Amino acid sequence: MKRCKYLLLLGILYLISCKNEGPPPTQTSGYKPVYAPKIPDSEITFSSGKIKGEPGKAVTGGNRLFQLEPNKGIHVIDLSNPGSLRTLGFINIPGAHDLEIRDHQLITNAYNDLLVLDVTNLQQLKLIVRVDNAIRLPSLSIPPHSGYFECVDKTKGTVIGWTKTTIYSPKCKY
Amino acid sequence: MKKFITAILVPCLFGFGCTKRPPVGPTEGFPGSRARFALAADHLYLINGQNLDVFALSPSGNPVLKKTTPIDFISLDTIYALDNRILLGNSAKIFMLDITTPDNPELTGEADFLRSCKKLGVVGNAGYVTTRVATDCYGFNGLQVYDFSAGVNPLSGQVFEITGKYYRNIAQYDRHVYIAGQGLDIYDVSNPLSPELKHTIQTHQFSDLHIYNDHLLGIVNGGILVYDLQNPEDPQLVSTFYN
Repeated sequence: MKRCKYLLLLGILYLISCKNEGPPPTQTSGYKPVYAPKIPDSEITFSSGKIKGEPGKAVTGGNRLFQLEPNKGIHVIDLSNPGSLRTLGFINIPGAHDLEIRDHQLITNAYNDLLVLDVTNLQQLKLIVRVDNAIRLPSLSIPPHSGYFECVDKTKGTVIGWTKTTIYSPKCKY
Repeated sequence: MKKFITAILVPCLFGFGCTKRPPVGPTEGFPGSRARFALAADHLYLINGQNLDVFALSPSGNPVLKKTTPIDFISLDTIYALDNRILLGNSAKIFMLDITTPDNPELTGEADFLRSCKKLGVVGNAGYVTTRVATDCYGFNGLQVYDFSAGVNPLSGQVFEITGKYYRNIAQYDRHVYIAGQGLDIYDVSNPLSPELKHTIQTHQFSDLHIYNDHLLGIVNGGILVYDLQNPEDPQLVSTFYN
């Protein structure tokens, strides 16, 4: 009977001890963070473009409508004739999340940077000022699915997404 | 005694044999797609996490940071400005600030939002706020109206509520308010504290609305619908734009 109690105790203690998961793999499939890139001034350009993606916030300035296409840029539409609107073009701004218009100044962002653009003449679009890191974007600090992932390095900036790839000796998991 | 020690030792070895779970990265929330900027009185108000940043804009457009005001411990996700007021919202509350002194916004009121997440805050003569349930919280879809005429904390005076509507955005023209969502609802707001539903256009799902020269611009997926507002209660479609 005494031996039986001893074995029972051992069994219970075994069951409540944690499950051995083993060390992290040296190579596995997992998620890697995508950090907000720095968009060079030269990438902020005006061209022809069509409204394709998710419609975002829009503002009117003069007889033009500026409509955000989130993360891609801003469509500009001529409102002079409400019976027949006309597209004027597209301002390419990767990472744009919001916009406001003040006279001929378009205020927007490229990821973490605040931008003010002169849109008087769209063909000669002018970046008036860029305020680096004025915008703190919400960070996606964990990947969309559980498992091993490459830890976030905050010195590299804001995490804007995750990509599934082969990762090596991952130190993070959830 | 020997057996006792063995009994303790063996499970301990099981325990030590376990690999420590690697640390999990910190959680900071998830990005939204709501308004972050608002312009008022040559100032740009910008929501930055839990704070409100104020930038003074020079005539040339150069923004100069004037003040950072901590608002709440939950990140802000929407902003709206009209005249000398700013409305801010997060997933739990709405906040109202006075910007009579534009460089120095002052919190004048806040209201619990019944734990529903607001999509956008809009102020008319009264305060009109669309509310929306998100996946990470509960509450209701609809509209709340606040009486801003009373006292120090105007947000304490919720006077009107509509539920069961998937509203997204609001535009005001004359004595009418147009609220977009799964369709377009037109309210008579002759009494701003008690909007009266007059008409509904159910043809499209609108994501944004704008008033432009007696016309209503309805932003839909991939295009824009233009309505004539000669009869504000019954807007007539005059053109559609899909490029």
